[in-house]
Amino acid sequence: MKAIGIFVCAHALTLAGVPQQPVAPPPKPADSGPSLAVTLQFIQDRMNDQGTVGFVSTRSDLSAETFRNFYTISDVVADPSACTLQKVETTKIKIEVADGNTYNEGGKPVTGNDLFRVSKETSTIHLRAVDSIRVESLQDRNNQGMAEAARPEVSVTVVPRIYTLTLVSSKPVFKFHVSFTKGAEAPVETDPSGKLDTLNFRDEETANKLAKAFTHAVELCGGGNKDPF
Amino acid sequence: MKSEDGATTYTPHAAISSYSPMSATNRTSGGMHAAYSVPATATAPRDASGNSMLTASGSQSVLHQVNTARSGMTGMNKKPIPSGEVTVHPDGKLTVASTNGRKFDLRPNGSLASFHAPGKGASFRSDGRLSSMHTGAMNINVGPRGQRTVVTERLDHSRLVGFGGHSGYLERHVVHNGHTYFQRTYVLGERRVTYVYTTYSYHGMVMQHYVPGFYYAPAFYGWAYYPWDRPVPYSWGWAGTPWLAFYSAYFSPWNAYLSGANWLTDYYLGQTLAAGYQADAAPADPGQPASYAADAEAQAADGEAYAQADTPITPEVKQAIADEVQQQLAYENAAATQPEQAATLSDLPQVMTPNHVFVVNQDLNVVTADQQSCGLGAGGVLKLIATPADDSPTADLSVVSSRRYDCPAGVTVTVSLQDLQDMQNHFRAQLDSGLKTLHDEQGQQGLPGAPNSAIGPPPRPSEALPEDNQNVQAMLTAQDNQATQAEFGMTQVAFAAGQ
Repeated sequence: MKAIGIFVCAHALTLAGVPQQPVAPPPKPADSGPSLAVTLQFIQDRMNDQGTVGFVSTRSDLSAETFRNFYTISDVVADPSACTLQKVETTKIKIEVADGNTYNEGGKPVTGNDLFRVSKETSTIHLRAVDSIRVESLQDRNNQGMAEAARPEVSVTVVPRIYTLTLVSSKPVFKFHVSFTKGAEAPVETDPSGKLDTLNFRDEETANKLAKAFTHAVELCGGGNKDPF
Repeated sequence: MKSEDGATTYTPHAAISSYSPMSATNRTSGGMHAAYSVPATATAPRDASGNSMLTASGSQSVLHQVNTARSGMTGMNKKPIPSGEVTVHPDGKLTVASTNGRKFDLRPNGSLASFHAPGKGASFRSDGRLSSMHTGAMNINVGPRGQRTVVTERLDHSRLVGFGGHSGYLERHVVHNGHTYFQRTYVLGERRVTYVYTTYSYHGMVMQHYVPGFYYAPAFYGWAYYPWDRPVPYSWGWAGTPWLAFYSAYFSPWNAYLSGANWLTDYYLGQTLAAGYQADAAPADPGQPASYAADAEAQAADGEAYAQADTPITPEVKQAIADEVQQQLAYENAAATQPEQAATLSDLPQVMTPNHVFVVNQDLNVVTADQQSCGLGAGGVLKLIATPADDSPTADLSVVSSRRYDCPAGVTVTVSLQDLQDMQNHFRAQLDSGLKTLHDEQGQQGLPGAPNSAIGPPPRPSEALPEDNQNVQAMLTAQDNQATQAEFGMTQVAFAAGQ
């Protein structure tokens, strides 16, 4: 069906019966790090193995209250084929009030069992939706939050010093199912969403190591910041 | 006379006075009933080939019988053959030499096999449809599903190749920086893309060799070559497209990709089938392409092979294609570092090894090992049986996957090296385009990010030739009209009485 054109390159190579040339495979790209499966397994194991992190937080504007927190990450399940990470974060909070003082919420005093709270957040991290990851101390983060809420005069103290790993997206892609229980009351179920997902870790080294692993996983999943500038 | 298969056929020198048309005794060697009988006194001595030229009265008698039989046929075969001198061939076929240099080759049943007149010729399928045609500057090929390919050699030495008027390309030669290139401007629906080729000689023929648009860092070829870290789910956005619906029983893309080579395989097949669908006239009814012959079964009656059903591209076949893609990535990497050796490293000389898999890029008419003709459409898969001898212009391949009415899977077909070169060029062009997409979209659209060593070095563009700004689509439309007129004109010339 095909015929070749009239014009023939004067420098045409002549290759009649040329044997097949041995060709080496192209080089593997420079080490691009562990596979996604290995990376997510690492993240899953480290998060599941952390156990409960206890810390106390206080606020300068609530000098009589001490917030005792017991934070646990559990049920972490990674799915490399979907680039997701399921997790449950449980925070038990005990509010202690100095003798002779009253802790108020909404202008009403809170006492007894109502000073015990449990927040259980179930969520799935979609790694492709993550733009960036940052690590900072929980105390710094809370103080930054106060400043952003136009209350820089309020300082928050967290003891011991623990660290947060925050997954950041430009869109409110992080969705949570929150079950919040105050005292003996029935749990209140909500489904908030936001641009941040925060994980707490006992020490800075663990937080940084996991941030590095998350960054690699996000890259392997095709996430990351796509802004041209 | 006994034919090779032992069937009884006519015997011009027999003492019987005539044959009974369509009787059990006048089967030809092909098993086809002859539509005529030859009067015993109507023959002249046979020539060395066993052909017998009939007397004037014999010719008139046979033509009368043939035209009587043709009156019950359809299309081109219904038209009466003009008067002329009839030659009877040993296999029962007839040649009629008519006025003005017109020559008709008829099958034993009277259907028209081919027609020749000064400066033009045409061949026909047994159901009367055109198979091929040539005039001074135009060649027309019509596939088994009615797909028309028109090739026009233009006065400016460019060549226009049209596929059904919907798509095609203009090929012209360009001298740039002291080198001669061929530049093809393809039009495919709304898309317009330009490919560049150089030439080399292989098996004594001048071949066109595709020149990639870009050369990449070796690590980029490596990134596409080696498995990715994880299966990558990917959505092509083809859902709901007419072409995918049309080929749904024949091809389905993978849901996730283990490597760039696998992703490039579906890219390659998808682009090939989408283009093939356009070329096949993008039928209004996705289930019924172009002008499928309702009586396609009739094609098998005389020297034509056709598949009764699709033999789809199975996962195994697709993996075999993916293996070729991966190997070609190695060739492309080698050629990128030694462009002067590109034809040796990345083209036909490199891939003509037994079991190499080719994917048909456009409609093609071929011949099977038992000399039946059949068609191959875009997306057909062929496997090379053996490396052809050094002086051979063709190669034998077995059909692995094919669509209904194309050459059946399993048969051996002979394909010209020029056509295989065209398939290889198409393959490399799609690979080039797919690599560009991978490079530009890695880390996006669900594709994994490539490491910096792969994408850090910018791609090196090959020689940029001046763009061809001609309105190729308008040229293709005009060409299609001219082809239709030429077909009509051929009929007029062939069957005009009293010339």
